[in-house]
Amino acid sequence: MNANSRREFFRALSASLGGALLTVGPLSLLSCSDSSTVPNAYSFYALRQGTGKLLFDQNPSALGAVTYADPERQPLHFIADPMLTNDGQVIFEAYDINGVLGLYSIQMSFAGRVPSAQSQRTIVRVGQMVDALTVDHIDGVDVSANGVLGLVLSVADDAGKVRHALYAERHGALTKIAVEGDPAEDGHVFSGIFHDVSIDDENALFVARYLHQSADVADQSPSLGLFVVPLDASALPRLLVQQGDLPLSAEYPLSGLGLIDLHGENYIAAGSVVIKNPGNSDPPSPDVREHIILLGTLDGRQPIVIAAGPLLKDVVDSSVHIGDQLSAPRIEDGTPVFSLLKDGNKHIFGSDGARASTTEKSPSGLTPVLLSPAVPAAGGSMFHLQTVVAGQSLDDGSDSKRELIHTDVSNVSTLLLTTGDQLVNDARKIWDISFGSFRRHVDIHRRLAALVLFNDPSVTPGAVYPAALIIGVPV
Amino acid sequence: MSKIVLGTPGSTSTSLDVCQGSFIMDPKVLGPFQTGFSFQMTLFDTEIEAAGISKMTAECDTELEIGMCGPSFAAYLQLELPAVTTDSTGPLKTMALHFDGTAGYKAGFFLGVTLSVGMSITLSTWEITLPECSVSPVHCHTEGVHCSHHHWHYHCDGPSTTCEGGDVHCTSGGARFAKVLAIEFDAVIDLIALMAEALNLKSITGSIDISSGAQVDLAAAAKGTKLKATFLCQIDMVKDVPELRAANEALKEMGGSLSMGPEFSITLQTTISLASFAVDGNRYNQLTWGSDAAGSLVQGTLDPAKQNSDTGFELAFRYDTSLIFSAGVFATVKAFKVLSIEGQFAIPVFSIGTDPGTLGISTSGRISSGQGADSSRAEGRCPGLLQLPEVIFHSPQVRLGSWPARPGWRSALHTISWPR
Repeated sequence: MNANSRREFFRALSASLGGALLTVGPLSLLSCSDSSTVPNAYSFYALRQGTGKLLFDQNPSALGAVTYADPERQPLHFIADPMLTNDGQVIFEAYDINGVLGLYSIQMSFAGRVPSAQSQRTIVRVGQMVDALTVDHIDGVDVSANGVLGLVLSVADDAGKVRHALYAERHGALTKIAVEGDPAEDGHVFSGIFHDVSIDDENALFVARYLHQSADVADQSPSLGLFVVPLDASALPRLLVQQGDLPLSAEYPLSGLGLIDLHGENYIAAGSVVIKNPGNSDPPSPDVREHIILLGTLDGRQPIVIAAGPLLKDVVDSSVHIGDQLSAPRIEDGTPVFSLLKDGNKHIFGSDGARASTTEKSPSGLTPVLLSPAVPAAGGSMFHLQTVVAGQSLDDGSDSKRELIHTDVSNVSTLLLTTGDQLVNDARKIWDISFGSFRRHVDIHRRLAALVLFNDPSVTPGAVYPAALIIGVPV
Repeated sequence: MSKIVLGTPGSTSTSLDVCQGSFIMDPKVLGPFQTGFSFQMTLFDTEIEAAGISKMTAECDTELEIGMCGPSFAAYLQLELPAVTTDSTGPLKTMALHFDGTAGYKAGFFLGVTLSVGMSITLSTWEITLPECSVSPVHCHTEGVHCSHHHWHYHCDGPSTTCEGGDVHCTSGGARFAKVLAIEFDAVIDLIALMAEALNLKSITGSIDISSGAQVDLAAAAKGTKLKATFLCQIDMVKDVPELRAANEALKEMGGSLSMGPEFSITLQTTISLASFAVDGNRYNQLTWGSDAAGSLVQGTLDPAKQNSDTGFELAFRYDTSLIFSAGVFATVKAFKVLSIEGQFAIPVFSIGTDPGTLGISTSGRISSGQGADSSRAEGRCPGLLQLPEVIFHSPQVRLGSWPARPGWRSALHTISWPR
């Protein structure tokens, strides 16, 4: 595999990951805009300079083990786009100059004419001691609209044994939610593998493996469950959904749970069900899995299926969306959005059908080829990143670029930012955009946070690239 | 061929678990004490056509469970209140006293062993009084005509017939039909996390379940004994295998993480049940235990042709054993809030099963009553021919098979295709 093909792959991967991976390669400048004007009444400001990295090829320590008197000024190496909360926190993951991964927060002020950074703090970093355990890795992050953090951390004890732990962070204090061996309600015990976490100001919702403490022989295998725990009470995590549940019917037990999102009393979750003997052949065919998306509430009622894979087409009712590659389920005010592939085209679906699609031209007139996960916002609007085909070969041989799109409740799309644009306070042209890697990138005022990468003609594979956290403010 | 049907064709019941019971008081006040209450109604029909009697019985059971339940333990006392079954039809009188009590203790520690032991004792006595009736022979005699001459006419009496006997005399004998004393024992031992801790595994669990019923009546014997042992472990190999560790490190670069490793499961299940039962030559074949959850329906056939003067006892057991070994992998991949793949990929590697085999012991003897031509030999005083026990053994056929691998995960990973 040559470098270009691999970069192409990473680029595609990056797109499918919401532009989470900052890559280099053919994706490059398009001379569509030389002005510093910001389209569609959004002003974008560079907030924090740093670097982006090339996956696998880049060594963060190449920045040099330099001690900076002002930690807020030391170079950081961003690995994903930042989150933004209603209280003005910009939260992001980055490597420091010594190659140590950390989760940071910048407190913003929007009181002045232009947004400004007030202070930066470290939320947690690898090597830090938490509850007499050493943080080994930051495995998962979610933040509520008002700045409550949910963290899945790998922590190591004195003997070096690493285990997963689930923490919440409020007002600068880390509080353990669950760790391997902790009990849940009904005597279940967490076996030490925590998957996704979603958090709001009152509850943490998470997917974890656990062991049944039941005398029922049929239930002895480690299971996967969706748990909820209130943050302000001493109650044990409560099991909401588990493997073996029957969201469809007795023939299709739930077998897997993936990404989740919590908003108020509603949640959305990606899952899968087992289809036994598909086709009803004799002898029976091996079981297969098919993906579903569940919509549920915290009161413990059985969730409903709102999207399902093609093999379940004849099982679900007509209101269920059918598609493949169901992914990135998110919810806001009870309104879900999720991605799926249908008839070879990528779509972002909402309750009433497709809200964005590779079959529809972009507001720029170009054709999208990749859609990143959408970020739902208040009022039924959503933001997403897409990769479009420019229709012409660029200088580096590429013919595609990124576009940051806003779609209102009426499904009218607006282009906010694209490759080649410039920031208000930075003359460099934007080369790549990363947005949507997490759930919360847009605050209640529709300000948004993203990460951009700047092209540097002198770069060679393996080098680092200039990057900046940016804030977009409606004007 | 006569038909015997014993059991409970239909019943409704509710399971009870102290850990799912109702709080006696506010948990904040009384801590973990809980209690539960269940109600069970059982309708069953016992029909013995051969004897020309039938019976319909309704039974209501109430069950009380009280105990305390904590995150890793439960101690409970479960009582099924005595229930009396009544009602009879036909010339059958029935009374049954049924008591079922269960006491147990479940305890566990999340890094230790969970032990659940329950014992159920069922004592039922069935007194069925069959009327023993006889009709005395009828003896009749006819008197002839007896005439007497009066001075102007004859007076004749007769003929008359007088019968004696023919009365039906029934006695309320005490024929005991069945008496049941059942002891069932259940034990479940969960091996949780202790080994996992020792071996630094992510999760491991296993259990051994022994459920055995021993009853002296026909129906209970057919219930048999089931033994099932399961063992499953999942091993997170990411930290131990350099390639996986490298993959995990690469995923960390993407803000992701990987948990992956093999999982193994072994299931061993054996069922031993009564295949046939014969007493005094009355053989009950094809005994089957019903499919209802309580397993309380037994049906057999009585072969009257076998009825003879043989005195003996024959017991044949049917057993069915299977062992299934599965292996597979589980994996979890996650990247930010965008991609999450979770899957288990299990392949039954092989299984060993047995066609139901039969293992039986038969003994029978013949006692001559001294009737017939050889009566002078006074065989009736001899034990006669006593057959040695005969062991019946049908060798099981061992099935060895494998299944094709499942087609793998269908996951969001398919959104990414590796370049050519």
